[in-house]
Amino acid sequence: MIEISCPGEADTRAFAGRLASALRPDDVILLAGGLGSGKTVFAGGLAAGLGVEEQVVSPSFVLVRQYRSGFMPLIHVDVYRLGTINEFDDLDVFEMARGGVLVIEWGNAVEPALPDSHLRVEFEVRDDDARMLRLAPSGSWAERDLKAVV
Amino acid sequence: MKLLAIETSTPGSSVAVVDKRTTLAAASRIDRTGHAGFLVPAIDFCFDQVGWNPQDLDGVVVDIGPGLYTGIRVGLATAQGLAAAFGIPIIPVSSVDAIAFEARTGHRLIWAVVDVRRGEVAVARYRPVPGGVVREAPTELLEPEELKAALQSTTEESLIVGDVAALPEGFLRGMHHTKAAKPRYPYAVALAEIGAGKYERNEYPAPDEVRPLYLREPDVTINWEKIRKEGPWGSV
Repeated sequence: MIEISCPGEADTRAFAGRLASALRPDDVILLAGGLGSGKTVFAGGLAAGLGVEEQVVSPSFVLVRQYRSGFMPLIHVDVYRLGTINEFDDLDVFEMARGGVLVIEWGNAVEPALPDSHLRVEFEVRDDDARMLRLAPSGSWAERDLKAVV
Repeated sequence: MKLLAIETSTPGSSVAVVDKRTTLAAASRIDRTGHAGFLVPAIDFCFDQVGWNPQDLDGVVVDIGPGLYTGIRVGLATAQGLAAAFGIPIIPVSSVDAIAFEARTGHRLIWAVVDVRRGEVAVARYRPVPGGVVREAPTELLEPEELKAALQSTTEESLIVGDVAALPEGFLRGMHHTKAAKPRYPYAVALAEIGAGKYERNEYPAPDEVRPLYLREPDVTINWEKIRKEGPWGSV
């Protein structure tokens, strides 16, 4: 478990941008944290790190947004409006994200449907409004030197 | 006997309007997630082509699965809407039955396969008989290895139809008594043919008793209340 303290939004964004350098095709990143805890900001940082030109906006309403202008496709998903795991299966996000990076907000809700190999990023809002990010790598993520990008 | 057939349980969506077992118009599209956008315009198109109105219908035939969760719900909801509005019956047909029916010519044992995701396929086995097929056992969810073992356990010549492309590469290698064949997806025209027989024999439930056949029961409901309350660490 790696912990990173991010005093402001820019820090969350910058950290996600550095993490982008460790990404590989077919990676899955699960973002776990309450409303306003920085999940979409984090996804925006990842996109910037991948060289995506467009502005990243919340996919809550449309469920899935795709960004294909970077080095690798970025598929940004929010499962907050889903009711069941079957609905998640039907979105077919793994097919969409083939060869790219899949980032799932509220991904902890659909964990049974995710591959064993993924990075879990947890967001905690501190009293001083700073964000504490915890990285829990599993599968192929466990072998990567994430400390190098922290 | 005027029937509308609605097929949305796999990536291959289709619609057909049939009168006295003759297909008058049909529309189809392959799209893994576009069932809702396809269905109503396709029904409109078919009605337009033959000059029918929905109130002309005697019944709606619908594929109840197994297959794609959202697709099945889109099809069944549309069928129930029409049935409720015009007081007509719904004739439910299973996706595997429709696939096997299209492969009915020949002597081989027919294995119909539908991809239901998460590494499993729905499988049913049929024997061809004059004019159709007879299912030999209830539909099961199997992993590819289990299907392989089942196919290898029979010495009969077999035909595997349906979404064979969803099985792992080289699945059929070395299985000399099994051949793969079309169709890949069920088609509304075959669905209508099966449905017409059921309609004539009065073999259908009340419209509000028609249920989807997901097979994967129960679906896991996301417990949002728990997730929000416990925060991101709740399920660690």
